[in-house]
Amino acid sequence: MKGFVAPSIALLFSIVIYFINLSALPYLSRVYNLLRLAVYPFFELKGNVQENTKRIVETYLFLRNVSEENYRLRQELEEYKLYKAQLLACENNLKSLSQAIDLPFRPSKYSVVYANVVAYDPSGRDTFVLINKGQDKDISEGMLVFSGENLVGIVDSVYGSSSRIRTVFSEEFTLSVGVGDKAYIYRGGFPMGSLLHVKVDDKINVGDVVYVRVPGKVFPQLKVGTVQRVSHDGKGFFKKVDVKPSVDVRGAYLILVIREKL
Amino acid sequence: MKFYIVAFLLAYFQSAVLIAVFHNMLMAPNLLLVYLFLSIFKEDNGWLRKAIITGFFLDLFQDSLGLNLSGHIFFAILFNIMKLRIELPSKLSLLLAYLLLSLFEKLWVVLLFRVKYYADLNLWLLLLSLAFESLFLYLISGRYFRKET
Repeated sequence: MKGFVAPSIALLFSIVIYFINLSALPYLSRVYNLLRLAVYPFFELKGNVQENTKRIVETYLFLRNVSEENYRLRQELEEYKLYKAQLLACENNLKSLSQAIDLPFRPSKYSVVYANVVAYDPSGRDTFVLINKGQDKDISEGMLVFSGENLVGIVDSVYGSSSRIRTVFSEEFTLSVGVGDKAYIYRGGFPMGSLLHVKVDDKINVGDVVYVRVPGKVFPQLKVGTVQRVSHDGKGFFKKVDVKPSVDVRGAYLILVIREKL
Repeated sequence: MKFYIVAFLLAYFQSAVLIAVFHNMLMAPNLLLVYLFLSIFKEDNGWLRKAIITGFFLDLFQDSLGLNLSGHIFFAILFNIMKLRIELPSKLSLLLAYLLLSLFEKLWVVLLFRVKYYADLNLWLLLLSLAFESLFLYLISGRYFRKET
């Protein structure tokens, strides 16, 4: 064990220099820096190699994620294709049924415009967004804008190549909506909108889905939000119904405009 | 001299590439430790000097003066004590001995680091790192055993 005295001292010394941060001490730091200066080109090269390696690893991880996402989206797309085929079969059945009972049936096919959000409401209340499509894509005021299955809002003003959308969070936003089989008027608001003129007897529960229902038009059943709170102060004929809009305006990457006025 | 040049290059590779790949200074595979291990295994002379130099190279590149130095010295002391008691006649015994000592060394370094700073202990990364080191040891130790036979 005699041979381990020097190593033990060296070990102890190394621990001490680690804890007292020897390389930062006034005089020794110069020596240490001089030593580092001698291998400075290596350090510079090391920094570059390290950066590039990090970038390569990150790129690899990113591409792997993209490839997984791509695979998942392909699967989803196949499901939607099947769903579309089912819908077409339903439409055909409906057509033959309407012919049998002599009921006018107009299958609605709307053209849509894809757009990206280019600006948001600076107040943070998400009352409007600006999209990068306008008159150049035949967009006009009063068109419905949606993202996924959720309603974003209505085209408010149209410019050359951009449009302003009044969202479901705006207090100036009103729209005819449906809950169950009843029609109401939705008025926007932040963070929650509300349903107007809901009678005390009407059965509306928390969690009910509020969707677009425009009289005389067959729009897709776009979701406006869900009923969050139902209250009645005991006076008057109407209940107070708060609706939480389901769209995440800031999370909407791609939005669609239905080229059909309300 | 060859040992020091190889050690310098390994320290460089470890600090520039492996740490960037593993995103963790403590859990990146320590190939230099494998090299030190094999060197001490073959030659008894100057093991302390080798441990100090290899640890210093790593500290120089990682700006952690004392941390790797103490880890390598600790590892070398343990290995020498082990050599006094145990024979390592085959590659497998060498691997097992290395795994045990490397685990101690890593825990030692983590312990020292955790006394001064906070760092997450990622056990999966530790296992991966040990697997890399074992593979490296397996690949470069063949030469020593072939020479003996």
